[in-house]
Amino acid sequence: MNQSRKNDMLNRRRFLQLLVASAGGAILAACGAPNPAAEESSTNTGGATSAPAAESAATSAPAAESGATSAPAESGATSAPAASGGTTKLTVMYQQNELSDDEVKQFMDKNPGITVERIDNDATKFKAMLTAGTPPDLFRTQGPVVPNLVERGIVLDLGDYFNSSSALKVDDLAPANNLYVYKGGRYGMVKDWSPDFNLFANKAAFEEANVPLPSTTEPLRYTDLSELAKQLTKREGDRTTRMGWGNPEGLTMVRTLQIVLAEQDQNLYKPDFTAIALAETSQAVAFLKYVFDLAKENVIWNPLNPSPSWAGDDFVKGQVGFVQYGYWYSGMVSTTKDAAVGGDKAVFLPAPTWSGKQLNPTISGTGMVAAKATKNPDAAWKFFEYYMSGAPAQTRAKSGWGVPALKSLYPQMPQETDFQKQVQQVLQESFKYADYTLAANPYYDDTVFDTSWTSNLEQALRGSISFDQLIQNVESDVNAAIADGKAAIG
Amino acid sequence: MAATSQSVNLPLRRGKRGARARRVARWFYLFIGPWLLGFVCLSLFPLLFALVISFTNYDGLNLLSVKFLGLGNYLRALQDRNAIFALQRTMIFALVSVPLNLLFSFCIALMLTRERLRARGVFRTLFYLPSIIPIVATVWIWRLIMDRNFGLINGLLSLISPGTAVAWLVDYPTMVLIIMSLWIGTGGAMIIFMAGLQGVPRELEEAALIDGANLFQMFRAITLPLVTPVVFYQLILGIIFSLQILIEPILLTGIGSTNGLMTTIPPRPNYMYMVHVYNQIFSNQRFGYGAALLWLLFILTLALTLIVFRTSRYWVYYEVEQEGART
Repeated sequence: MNQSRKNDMLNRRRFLQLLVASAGGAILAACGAPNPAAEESSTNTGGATSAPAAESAATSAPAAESGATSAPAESGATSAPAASGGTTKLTVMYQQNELSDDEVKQFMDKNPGITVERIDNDATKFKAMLTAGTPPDLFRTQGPVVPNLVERGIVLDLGDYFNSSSALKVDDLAPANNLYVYKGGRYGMVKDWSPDFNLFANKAAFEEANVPLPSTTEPLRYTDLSELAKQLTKREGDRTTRMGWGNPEGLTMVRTLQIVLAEQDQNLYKPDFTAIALAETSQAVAFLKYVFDLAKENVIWNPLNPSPSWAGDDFVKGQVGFVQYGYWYSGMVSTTKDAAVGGDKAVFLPAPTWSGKQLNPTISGTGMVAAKATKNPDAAWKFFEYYMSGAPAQTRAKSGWGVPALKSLYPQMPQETDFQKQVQQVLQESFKYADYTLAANPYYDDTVFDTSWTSNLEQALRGSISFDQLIQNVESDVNAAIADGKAAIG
Repeated sequence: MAATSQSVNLPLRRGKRGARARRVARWFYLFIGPWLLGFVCLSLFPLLFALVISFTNYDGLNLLSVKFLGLGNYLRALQDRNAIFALQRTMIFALVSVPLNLLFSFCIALMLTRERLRARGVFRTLFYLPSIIPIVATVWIWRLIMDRNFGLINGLLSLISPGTAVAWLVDYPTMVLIIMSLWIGTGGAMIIFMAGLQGVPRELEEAALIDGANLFQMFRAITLPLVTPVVFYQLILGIIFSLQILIEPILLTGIGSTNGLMTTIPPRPNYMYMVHVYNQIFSNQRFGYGAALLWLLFILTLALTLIVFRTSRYWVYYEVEQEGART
């Protein structure tokens, strides 16, 4: 066989060479840093740029169109790619039930130069996109996660945009937005929020147990709650047909513990956030022992007698006496008004207190931040403004699933039914205790505390470890995670 | 040398053969290329990437400040009491569930390949149905059935003994997990066994019966040996899948706060190895350590698979005699 024919022949070696070259190219394309020039040509065909605000001297936003300004005054930079007919593409990682297709379309109709692609919120996908150097321009997060994201250089400081915005005035921001402030920067906003420690009581359960409904103006003590939990728990033989208290951990155990400690001017974390000192902090041990005893008495859902679903679902089905959630949960109670404990069959109560000092802030604060790596910060801000102050914000305010992120939107919360009116009365009083900002640890994801707590609580309830060992194990697990996180940040 | 002389003696035939071979090779590579490309990009590269990060403190977000730890993550795994506990629980689960799954699916396949059985199609569909229901729906059905306070089983038991509240998902979580895994896995394995059983030549079975063998003897001497390659295949797959069980224990018996799947932990008896890995990666953000745990699992799975392969010569019937096989 002559040499040229030999070269023409697709043998195994040549095939594998081609394959490796193709795969390598594909992988490099996926993993390599995106080419700004290519990015610009593909997303901004009209030639209008949207360079990072601080560096760009380009263009202006069509403020009249959106009713909002976009550019930070000092940078002189803006977005407005629409003017020249180009298209700036934004990727927004958010859940569809929080950002509808109609809302996205409405934005694009008003801003023809900007195309928005909404992708579902997915932690794994987010990390993959981040690793590839192409994070979503805007994404969903929780307030207590923001310091961690800032320390890793993932999120963009929007402070200058806020200062120059006419739609989002800092003075108008609800206190929960302070969760998005870290080391002097303002990195985003809550989409809505709630004072997270109010109680929802099942009227029928109180009536059946012959226990008077608690006051809607005076807060209960946690010690009162343990008594109520015992009185409201209903059993048939070994079966628990109604659990007294659904969720003493509230939304999460660690953040609930932080608020109980804050009432007593104590902190869970050391001042530099490098560790927790759980066993040494008697106030922390006392609260955890309180929860442990309730679990042992089987008057709260616990690892040995877990909820059939989740406490909120159990409440509307009449399977628990009371639950501890924020205002947002009133949306669920209202929309399930035909359920066993929907609508007026429930009553909204003030947050309980451990020490007598009342604190009732948000401990989740779900909202939106912008990626530091975004190629289109001005367009991203434009969408951010729209989402936080435009039609989507109005819709959320009226829905009753959260307190608006802007104080000016508070009056739009629903007050049509008797239940909604009762909720509003208690909520307005709760605002007085909602200004506290949870101290979020920048070095780790605090779900570690809750997983360790749950796992060790089960072992302690089974008697395989002591309560003291439980505390030590949680402390050890959390401190190991913090140490790893600190080392990872560098 | 022989090849050379052949090429000299038969140049024309060789030329035709060569052209045909090239054509065949081209089509072969054309068809296999997309799969191989996908394998390299979507499997091999992630595997190698995971191997690299298993030597680092990568946490999913710190690619720019990642540090090389050498064998640190692997040494940590060997001292991780939760990892060792989880591995023990997983091995127990695998030791019980894999043989049971083989036994049940084989027996059902035997029954459903009997020609005299009426409504075979209906039974086959019914047994296969659990395999095609989405796993989340399946698990929630089981939770509703097994719940301590509001479950169907305890409800029925309460008709006989009022107030019965057996904590199936808490006190017997591994048993429930094994039964549910059987319920899910039997259908798929049954189909493969049925295919194997239908490949057993009828004339061999008939000859055995004519020679005076009873049904059991026929099964032991003819049917079973001929389907051992299928048993072998199912055994290997069963080991691999059972060592990787993740979603079922978390969703079936998970307990925790309302803050999502990441804070949901199964009770201690169902704390399987992959649950620990998931917990380390997504709750503790230890991607590097999690990758090391996964590579250790891969090595263990490979070792078990090789052991089964080595033993196969003693019990798997191959129509072509294996080198060193027992005759």
